[in-house]
Amino acid sequence: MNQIEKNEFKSRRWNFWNIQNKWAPYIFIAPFFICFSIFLIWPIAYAFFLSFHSWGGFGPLQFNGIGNYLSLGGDKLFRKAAWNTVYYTVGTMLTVLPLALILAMVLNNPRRKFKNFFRAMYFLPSITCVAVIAITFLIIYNKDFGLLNFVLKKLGLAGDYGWVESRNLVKPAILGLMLWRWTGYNAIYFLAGLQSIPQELYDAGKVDGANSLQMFYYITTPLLKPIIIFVVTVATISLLQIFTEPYILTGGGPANSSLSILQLIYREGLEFFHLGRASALSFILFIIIFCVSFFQIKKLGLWEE
Amino acid sequence: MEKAKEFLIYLLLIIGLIITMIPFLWMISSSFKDVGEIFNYPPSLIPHILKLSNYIYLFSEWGFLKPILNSLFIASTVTLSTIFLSALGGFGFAKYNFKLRKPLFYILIGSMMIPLQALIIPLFILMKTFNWLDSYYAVIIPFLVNGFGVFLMRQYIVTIPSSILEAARIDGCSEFRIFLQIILPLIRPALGALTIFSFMAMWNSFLWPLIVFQSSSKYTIPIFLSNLVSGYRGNEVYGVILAGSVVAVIPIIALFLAMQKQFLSGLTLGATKM
Repeated sequence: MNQIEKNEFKSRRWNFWNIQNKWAPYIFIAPFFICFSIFLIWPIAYAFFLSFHSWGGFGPLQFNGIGNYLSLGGDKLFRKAAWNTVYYTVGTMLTVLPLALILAMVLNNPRRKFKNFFRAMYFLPSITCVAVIAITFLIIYNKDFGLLNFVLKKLGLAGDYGWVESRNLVKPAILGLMLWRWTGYNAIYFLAGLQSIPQELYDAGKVDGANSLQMFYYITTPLLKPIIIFVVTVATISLLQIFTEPYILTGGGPANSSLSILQLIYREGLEFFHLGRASALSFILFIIIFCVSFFQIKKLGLWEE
Repeated sequence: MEKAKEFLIYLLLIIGLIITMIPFLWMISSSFKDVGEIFNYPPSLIPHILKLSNYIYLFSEWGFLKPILNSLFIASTVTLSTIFLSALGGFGFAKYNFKLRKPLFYILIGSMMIPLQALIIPLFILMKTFNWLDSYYAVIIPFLVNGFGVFLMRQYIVTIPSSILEAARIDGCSEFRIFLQIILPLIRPALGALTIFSFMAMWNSFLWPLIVFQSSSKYTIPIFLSNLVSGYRGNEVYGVILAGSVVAVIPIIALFLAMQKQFLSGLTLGATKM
């Protein structure tokens, strides 16, 4: 090997390293993008495609235009499921989030004792398996021997409510489960936000003679805004996809009064094999959630690296 | 006045605490009750006679060991792969300046906006095409790595000074070895947080395993228990169900209490760093 060859070898070796450097990041991020394309992008595209057809799972596809979408507009069950899902979403937000904020403000007091203990205990429900918890609540909500009716009776109320049997009570019963499960979870976020507000601002407010309501309105709320946006959007996204709670507590009944959109998709697609229709529903749900997420990520400035 | 207010606040905190704990306490105590006593009226919070029969039946008659092993196998496989591949991807995004980084990073963020649950129908058809229905592949492969994990890891790895990596490169360290021997040890706290998130999500997941598993030998714990509820097997089975619920819930609570600090800091990192 003469000198020239040696140099060439060296430079090739250098090139090899260079190439490796150049391609390394692509190789490192490849597993994610492979998984992403197959299990997220393809299903979206396929749902979109299938939503213009009617298909029972086998045989040829039948082109149906926007028939699936049009038929949803007049569909009573779809309207009911949509209304129920909105009920769960708005209802949970209006009960869980204010309560979580109050809890966080109570725990944020520097003189508060056992703060970490309370925080951890209130958080516990959110990490448990929702299916398992729903089963436990099913027994607690039981009309004849459930714990809830027993306690209500002790408090001097009627105590014979059919929590999961009555059309009027079933949605509030599900909200009760939500309230139990998610208050502590959201309080953690509010608490993190409250702790990042410097105490001096409140001291200054006090000097200026502001009362606690004014301080809440003029200091806490604006500085808590990013956390509020985060919490509200996360709650919206997960509540629009509610499934397990009504599935286990009631199966969607009585008379579909607790049926959620995702349950309707499950039913249409996997029980009746109306795959085109179920795909149209899936695509609508996907677009709505995507928009909420987009708003969240844009508002919170996640785009900036 | 101030004292009365403080007293009231603690009183409310304790009432809230009791309401939060009652379902757990009731679940645990009833799992040790005789079947008849669970449906006794008035309900008792402490069993009259402490009985282990529900737990014994759960394992001997109902074969609960299999769902436990299924849940453990699925959750740990997915967790191991998620933390490894997320860290790898996060490293790629955090420490390299490659041509397509920006657009690919936007796609990564975009991927977090996609709700998997809304896509069950096309995913189900895809699984059918792959012939993965009723197989472990269907609950493992689609979850090997996700955008949230990669993003979270990227946020951590960005804070590691690049000079360490340069020094290693000059010593002739390959890119993959830099990842294994420098990056991974440095991001251990982040890996801890992601481990808990991912394990918990898989251990608790319900809808997807419900869709893809048909034979009972594949059932995970939540599917197994919900199947017992909907099977109309009469009231006798409720003692067994509650015992199973305790087995499903307690390990997660123990994991949380043991790693509370890491868990809660990881949880709020996403929200406060934005």
